[in-house]
Amino acid sequence: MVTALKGREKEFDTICDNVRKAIATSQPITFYLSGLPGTGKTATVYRVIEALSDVTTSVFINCASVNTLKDLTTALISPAESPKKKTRGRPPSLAKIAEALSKPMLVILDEIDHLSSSTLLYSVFRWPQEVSWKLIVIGIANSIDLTERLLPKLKLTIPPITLPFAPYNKDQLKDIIAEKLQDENSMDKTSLELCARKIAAVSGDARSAVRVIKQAKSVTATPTTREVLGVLNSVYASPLSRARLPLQSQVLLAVCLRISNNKKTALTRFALYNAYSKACTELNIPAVKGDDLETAWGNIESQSLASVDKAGRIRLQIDASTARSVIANSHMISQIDDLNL
Amino acid sequence: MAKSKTPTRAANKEVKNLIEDLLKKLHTSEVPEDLPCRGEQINKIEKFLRSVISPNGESSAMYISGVPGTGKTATVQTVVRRLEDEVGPTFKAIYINAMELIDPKEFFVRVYKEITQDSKRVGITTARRHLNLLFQSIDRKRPPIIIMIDELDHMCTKRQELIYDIFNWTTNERARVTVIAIANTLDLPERMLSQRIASRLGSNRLTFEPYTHQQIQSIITARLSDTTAFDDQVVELAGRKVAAISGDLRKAIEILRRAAELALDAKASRVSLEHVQSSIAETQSSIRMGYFQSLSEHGIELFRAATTQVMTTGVEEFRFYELFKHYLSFCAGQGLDGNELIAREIICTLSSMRLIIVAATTAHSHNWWHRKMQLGVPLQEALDFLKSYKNPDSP
Repeated sequence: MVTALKGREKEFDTICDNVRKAIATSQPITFYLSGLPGTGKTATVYRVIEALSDVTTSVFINCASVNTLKDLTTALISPAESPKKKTRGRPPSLAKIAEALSKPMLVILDEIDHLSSSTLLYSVFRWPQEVSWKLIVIGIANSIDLTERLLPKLKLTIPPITLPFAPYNKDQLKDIIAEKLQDENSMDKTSLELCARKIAAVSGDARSAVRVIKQAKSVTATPTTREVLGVLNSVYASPLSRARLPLQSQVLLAVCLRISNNKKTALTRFALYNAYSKACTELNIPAVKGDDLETAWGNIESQSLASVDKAGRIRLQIDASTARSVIANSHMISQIDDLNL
Repeated sequence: MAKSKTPTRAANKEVKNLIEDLLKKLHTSEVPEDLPCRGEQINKIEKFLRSVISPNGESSAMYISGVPGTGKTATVQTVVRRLEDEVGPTFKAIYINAMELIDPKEFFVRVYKEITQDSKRVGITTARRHLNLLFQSIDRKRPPIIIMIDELDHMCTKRQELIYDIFNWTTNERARVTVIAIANTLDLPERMLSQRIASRLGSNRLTFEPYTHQQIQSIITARLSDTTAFDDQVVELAGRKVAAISGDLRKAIEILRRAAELALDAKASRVSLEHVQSSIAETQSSIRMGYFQSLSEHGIELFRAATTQVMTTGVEEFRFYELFKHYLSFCAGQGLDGNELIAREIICTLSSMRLIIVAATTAHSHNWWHRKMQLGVPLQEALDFLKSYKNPDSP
């Protein structure tokens, strides 16, 4: 007997019960599952497939790569088509495919928002009613209101059963991690709790929770709270805190910071370069020019410390205190702050 | 006479060989066996790969970032090569540089061909479907696969479905597919990728920091340990110069290579500081400088006028009539006959070289005299151009 994913018992049961009921009465039925990444949507559906394998067949389609009607139909006929067998000519119509089915088929469309057009998206949800009740469509995507937003007309007929997957809370995460690690019961309770609480507070993403524990385990075999906290901090700290800049880029960034303090003028690249060369003369730093200067600026941009918008204005992407910590030279900053640029 | 000549020629040849040997060693395609100053990163990557290819390894992903020339690709490839030598063909490593792909989708074909070792032509969609199927099923017999994607940012399409597919392979733990993505941008996952990809990519990040000048120095000295044609100071100068700007090791090597070539041309026995200095000067002279030298006299005067205008007012933008005023007085000083037609024509030339940027016409600036303009180069650079400009007619 297939059981539900930890913490997803309700969703699992809803799908299974409704499908069984629909099959018993030959009613068309569709589902739409939504939720943030790592909340077990796809995993739940896989278990549903297994649990219902006695009454249905199934085909799993990831719409990221299959996203036109033709591709979809081809995928429906031959889910595991061998590379040798090539289908020539036009694929048969959906009605034919449905007729040929001996058992109802679960059509699972993962990342359904990747479908090429909203017309197709719409027609996919209408398949069970218009083609055959034997096609049971389950759409999966991240946004909670996809069907309401893009497909208001679905309301007129039979709207899909919408199942939002809430982010995992800390107890669920704790269970999930414990389940994943059951073969090697080496985690101590407090560090497990810490990880679950932290992740639940930020995203409730089970993937990242498991990954944090794995990373901590790669440091030592029996991670304590300290190791787990270390991994968590490195995961959730801004990646910009790891940035390190060469000297000239530091000067450029400091000048940028200094000028952006007075909001009166829009800062363009040339204005920055002019101010920079002025600052270099004042500080007795040899100023670079031309391509070298562009390279130095490129360092700042590629680390996303600042960017240039369409109008050519420079925008700092970080707050002043992060910029200061990236420059890591308080003496130079204070010198440049004193200049009149 | 002949006797005294032979030894000098031999000595010359020896020097030449010495420096030529040096040039060969400094070629950027030459990747040394071990990479000094990257020990920490090597350890991390090695540990990661070892856990992946171990019998109970799981699919995972890693993101490596760093500015150009910090040894990202070299490090990853060295570690993979070492592992291959050590454990033999128990895993499959595939390296693909996304920049080499004409169409990002070609990626699937390349991976498919590498895995199946099939030389037959295969379409993009077919390859993609087979890969998706292959990595969804669990095949205990298949060796673990490591896919390295260099320049990941070139795989980004608007809908990001390619990257999604690639990282989706790694979510099947038992499929044993590992993706190592390499790019320059530190926070590409946060900045460009949507959350569903970031969730799959995970938090396994590694950053390659720009080299400091000590590091550049020690790397180059290690590479050139058995030659004597370089002074330590020479390497230090190049290292300091580069570390201040980008920390790009390739640039430092390029400077030294050029210096060695200069030394070879000058028939010097050693590469000296002067050679490095002139090599640095060469790399710095920008392409605009060449344009500038080719300008006509009127062009120079107009550019000088524009620079003076910006200098005196301190405002970046100016209008044509203000420029023209300065231009006339400079022309008078040079004994040239300036007029509006010439000035307008030359402005067009200058703006096609982007030395001066002319604003687009608006409803209020139909009149040429009121057209807004600005310098196309930073003021400091403009001043340097003017200072270094030599009038070809003057002695």
